[in-house]
Amino acid sequence: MEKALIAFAAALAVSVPAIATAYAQAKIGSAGAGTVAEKPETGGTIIILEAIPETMVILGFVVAIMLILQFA
Amino acid sequence: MTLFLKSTTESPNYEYLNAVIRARGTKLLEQEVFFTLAGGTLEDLELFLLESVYGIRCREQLAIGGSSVLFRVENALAAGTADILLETASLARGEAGLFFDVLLSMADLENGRLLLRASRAGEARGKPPLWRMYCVAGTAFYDDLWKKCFNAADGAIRCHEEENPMASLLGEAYRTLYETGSLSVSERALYSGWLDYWREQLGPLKGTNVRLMEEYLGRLTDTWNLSTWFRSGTELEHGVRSFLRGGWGLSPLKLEGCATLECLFEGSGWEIPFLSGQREANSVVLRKFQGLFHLWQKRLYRKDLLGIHVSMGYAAQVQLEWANLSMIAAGLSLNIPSAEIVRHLLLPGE
Amino acid sequence: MIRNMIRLSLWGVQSRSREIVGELHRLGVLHLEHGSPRGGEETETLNSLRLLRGKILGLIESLEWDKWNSVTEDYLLEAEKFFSGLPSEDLVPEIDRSLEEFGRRLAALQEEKAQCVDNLGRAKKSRDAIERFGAFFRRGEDGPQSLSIWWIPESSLQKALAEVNAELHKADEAGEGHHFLPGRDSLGILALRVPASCEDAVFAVLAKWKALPWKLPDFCGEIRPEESLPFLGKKIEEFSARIETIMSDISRTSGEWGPRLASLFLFIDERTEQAAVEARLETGRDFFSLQGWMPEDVLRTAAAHLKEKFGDDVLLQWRSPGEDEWNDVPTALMNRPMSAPFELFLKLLRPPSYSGFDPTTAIALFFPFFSGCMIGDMGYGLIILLLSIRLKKGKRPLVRDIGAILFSMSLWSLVWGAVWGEFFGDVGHRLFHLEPLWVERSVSVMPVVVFTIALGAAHVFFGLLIGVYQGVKNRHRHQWMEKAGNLAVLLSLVGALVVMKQEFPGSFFTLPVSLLVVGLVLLIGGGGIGGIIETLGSIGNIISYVRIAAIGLSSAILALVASKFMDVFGLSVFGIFLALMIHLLNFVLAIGGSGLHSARLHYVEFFGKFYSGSGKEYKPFKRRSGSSWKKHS
Repeated sequence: MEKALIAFAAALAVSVPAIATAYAQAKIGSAGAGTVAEKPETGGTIIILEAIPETMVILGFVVAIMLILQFA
Repeated sequence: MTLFLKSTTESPNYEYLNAVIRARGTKLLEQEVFFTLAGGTLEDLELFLLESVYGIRCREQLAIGGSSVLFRVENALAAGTADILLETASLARGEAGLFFDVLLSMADLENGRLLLRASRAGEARGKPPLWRMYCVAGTAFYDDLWKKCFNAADGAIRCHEEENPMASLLGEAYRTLYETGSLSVSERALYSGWLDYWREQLGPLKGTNVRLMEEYLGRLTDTWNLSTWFRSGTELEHGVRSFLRGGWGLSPLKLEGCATLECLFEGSGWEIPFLSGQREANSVVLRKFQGLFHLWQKRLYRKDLLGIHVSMGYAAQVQLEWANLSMIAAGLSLNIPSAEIVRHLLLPGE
Repeated sequence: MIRNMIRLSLWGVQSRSREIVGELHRLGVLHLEHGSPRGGEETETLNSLRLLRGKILGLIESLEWDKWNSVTEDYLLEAEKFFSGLPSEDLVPEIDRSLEEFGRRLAALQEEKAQCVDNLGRAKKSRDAIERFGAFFRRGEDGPQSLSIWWIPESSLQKALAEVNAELHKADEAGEGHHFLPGRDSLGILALRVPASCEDAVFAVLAKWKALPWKLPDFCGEIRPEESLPFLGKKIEEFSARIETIMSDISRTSGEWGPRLASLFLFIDERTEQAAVEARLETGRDFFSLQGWMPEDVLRTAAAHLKEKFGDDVLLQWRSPGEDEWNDVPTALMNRPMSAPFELFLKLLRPPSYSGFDPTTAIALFFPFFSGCMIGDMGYGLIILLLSIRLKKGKRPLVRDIGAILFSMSLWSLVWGAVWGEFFGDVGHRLFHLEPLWVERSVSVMPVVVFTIALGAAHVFFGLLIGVYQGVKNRHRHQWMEKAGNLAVLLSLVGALVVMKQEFPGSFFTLPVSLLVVGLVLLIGGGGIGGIIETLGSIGNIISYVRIAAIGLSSAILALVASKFMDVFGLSVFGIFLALMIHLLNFVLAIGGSGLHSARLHYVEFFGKFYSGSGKEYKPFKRRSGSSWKKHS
């Protein structure tokens, strides 16, 4: 039971930030596609903006790994 | 017209649309450019347009538009403006598409008014005027009306042949003109038909963007009502001023009861800077009031980056740019001094 | 590497200015620096050329010709040969005149086509309406009858008909015959048959009820509606045939004239480019001068060529740019063949400044390393290798560059595949007893995570070092202090971690503490509070490299899943099919995901430490090549 809870916590640690990131990236990506279509030179900036929310998932992943390795 | 009545069940794509518009917005001309162009020649203006966003239409005019520079420039500007607006509108999805159609169909309203006035005059027609080509019913339709329908009855018949809601509205206005013989009544029919149509389309939608569109329609109603308020008894049908309902700031009570502009605008929500000081002619006040309506739209450009505000502000600026460039072209062709041309421009910074 | 640039000044004899400018155009190495046109005859020529160029392109566009890919250099040479006979002052008016008539004919054709399309539409609409009244028309009545068609509001139809009948009754005539078609809006079409003797009275009634006469299109003349069907059918055929003829005319003209106009356009375009330079030349009584930038490595060849061609009619002077000019010098990159394809990554950004650092070699080193680490499978590496070899033989430079990048990725995928012991997941282990050189990443996650963080630290430190170097080189005190401070603080954190893990004795703790103090002083001196915030950002940047482990792990597990399908379904067609599908999905994800994330690590984490992109692009004055002609299409 305890293991299941830990696994669930780890899953949450990844999935919640993943959903949040997906939402943010969808909005940023859509705006970014519009901008790049008109001004290709902004491509680099858009990649950076698009990449910013991704950090949430990476941190979530690290937390999940820590949870599993420390407690499971 | 494929643009017309896009499905509003689709999700609006404001992020994409506004990003495209904001990127395109950087190509709008600064006021210094207008000053420079006003100080040059018509040929300079054509060369400038050749390398601007109007380039493709300018090239088309050079190729098949004949030898008059003014004709080429005016046509290139009208067609170029339509390209910009129609192409941008084609990117809008869901309710954004519908809202953009409202903005575009303002052109049908203006084209329709031109035709009604020409029908009333009943004159033999020369070359068609420069239509607002971003209209929903299509320029060919208005051209056809101009060339072949010399009176209200012909106009009404031609409109009813066209399968387009905007044509039907104009058809009804033509019928009103045919039945009453009154231009103001027929124009009112066109306006009220147009406003009712769009209010009906917007009815089922909800949210801040719809409220903004309703405000847009309300402010437009105010401009009509103000022009009616200015009319003297002789211009009216049975001596009665018939105001349109659904105004934004000018209530029917005030419109009926007020005798002065100060009274009319008090607490209306409109910021009227031109009321103080010397009283100007009605036509000048009306023109300035329409300018305020434009300015209100233009200011929305930076207001809500995830709403229809950006589109509305952009459309207003594109139209303003067209108006200014046309004014410069006309001024230069008549050898009007640069300072005088500049005085008549509606500059982006104002 | 950023190429060394040379400031070149050229003086030439005025009478040979066109030739000299033309030769510079052909050489295509000088990035010109010039002001606005100075007016006069040259500017007039330039403007008329610009108009002519616009006109030709307008004609090409009106003809809807867009086969720019089929245009070769030979077209241009042909046009050059053809027009070189004309004196330069006659060139524009002569071509303009010959295009005038062409444009007029084209405009007339297009107008006629639009008219025909409109007429066709109206003829079809009328036919559709008349057809629906067919039975009514055929129904004959005794005595002379008047047949008319009206638009009438549906709401007033019944009242109008009642009044018409009353009118007929008054005249002792039989009742009317009618057929009504409801319309889309409030109006419908009413066909009405009444005795001819009552026509006027009935029409007056209808007019009273605001009915409008329905008419056949103008081209039908006086023909009566009930007899119009065959005529309309004939007209529809005529209009359709005419439209087809016009379209085939335009299409034939397009095919015939498109390439000729295109070559004329290219010729005039080149002349316009040259005229634009000529109009901006600084001129004296008998000489002219121009200035620009040129890569140092081509200077000798270009100078020798100009001297050989023009002898003493040109005078060249050059010098290296001074420090105060660095902001004005355009940036041109030149890298070794192995790393040059990676310049592609800088195309999405503004170029580095002339005094900056070209990160192409660093990208060539780290990008495939990171993505190879993420893919980490010898099987996938092998497929990417084959794919890259194919792409490297592509025609377009972009495709060849992508091929070269994939080639490097594939090599590192093979290496990392050996390190993780993966060949299509665990297929290598099952078939050839393949063992990992280091760890199996799907089992030992922690070492891989730690390794990627260390990798990230090294990459970020490298970026910071470049930042310090740039700051020192450009004498930007704030920049180097901030970057150095950032570096020192991060190193102190690493040192502290090492000591806390008891890898070193406690006495070593003074080293990280000293580094921290020095770092903070530099940070505050260089960037103030913002500097400290940037350091926190850098820690986040380093952790961000964990994605290499995360994506690698998911890729490895997905490959294992493919094998599991084989275990579950056995060596059946279905099992093999599923396994292949999973591998295909994993392969696509591996290439896309690893490429994207590796690029992101460069753009965000690495470039963020030093890259400013404040340079000017090197745009030499040169003839358009095939790829840029296409831009007109």
